[in-house]
Amino acid sequence: MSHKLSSQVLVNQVTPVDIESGVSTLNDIMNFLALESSSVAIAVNNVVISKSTWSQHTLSDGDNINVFGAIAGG
Amino acid sequence: MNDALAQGALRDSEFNRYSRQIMLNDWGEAGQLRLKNSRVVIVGCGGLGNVVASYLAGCGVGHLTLIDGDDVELSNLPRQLAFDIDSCGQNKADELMQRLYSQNDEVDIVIEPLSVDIDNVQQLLEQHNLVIDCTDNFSTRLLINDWCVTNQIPLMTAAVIGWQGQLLLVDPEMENGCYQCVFDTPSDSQQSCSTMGVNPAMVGVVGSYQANQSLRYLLQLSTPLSNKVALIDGITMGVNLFMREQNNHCTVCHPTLKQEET
Repeated sequence: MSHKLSSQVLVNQVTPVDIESGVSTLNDIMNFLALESSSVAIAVNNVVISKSTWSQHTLSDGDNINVFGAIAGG
Repeated sequence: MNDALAQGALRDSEFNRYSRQIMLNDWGEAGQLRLKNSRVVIVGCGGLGNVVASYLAGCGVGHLTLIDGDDVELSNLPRQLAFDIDSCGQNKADELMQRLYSQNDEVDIVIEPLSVDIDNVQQLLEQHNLVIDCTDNFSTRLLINDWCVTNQIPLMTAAVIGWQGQLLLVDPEMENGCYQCVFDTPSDSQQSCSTMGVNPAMVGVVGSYQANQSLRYLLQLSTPLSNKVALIDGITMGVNLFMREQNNHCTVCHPTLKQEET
């Protein structure tokens, strides 16, 4: 019998992240990926999450997370 | 948007010129009149501005204001298709206006060969139905966003870099926040064409999306950009749409926070 050892979220459709190893909020994701938070937005399950709530936004198993940076070229 | 924009009548030459778009069920004569009576300002006459202005002038948007203080450079030519070798050294807004008049001399075009700043933004952007942001730096993007939110003027903003594009509409009639609700602290040191490079064809792709959704907004047709941000991937041909919500800590949408900050 197989069972799930940990919950995972998918980051930018390619990077599975174990959310039971200290990664539980969006702030944790940014630290885990070593991403600069300025000019970056995060969408969870296709909804942009305001940066002011990243530290309170708890991740759930199977969440689909997109991290994207602002671009300025015209 | 006001129904008064659909007033008046089209001339025979206009029915002929715009016949292929007027025949669309959700466009029609009323839609064409809305375009004819619309006043649109395009900030930035580079890659995106070239594409957007060409479609809007071609489609019969009655008044266009083109703003750009830069001159055409050789490195612009791969993606700024309204310009040619003789354009180099000439002001972009002026060169673009001449190209547009050769395409459609029935539209009214005003040029402002300068950069938008805090001192002139009011004078340059007021008296328009739609502001279209085609600029190449964050400081101008943030300034335009702030002015549009404060003055309740819709803003269609887009950007392109590498193989990626981004678009969103700041719609005064929606409560889904502004550009700064999504990107709160962008810096001019990041992500510009001159530092990161850009695929010229992606400028055409993103500019076409920006023109298409601008036309839909002017025609009073639905656009997903009213409450979403679109990410366009030129590698996978994927388009992601993410719902936007107003950020309760945004100093643009909540002016009292701005006052507290200062």
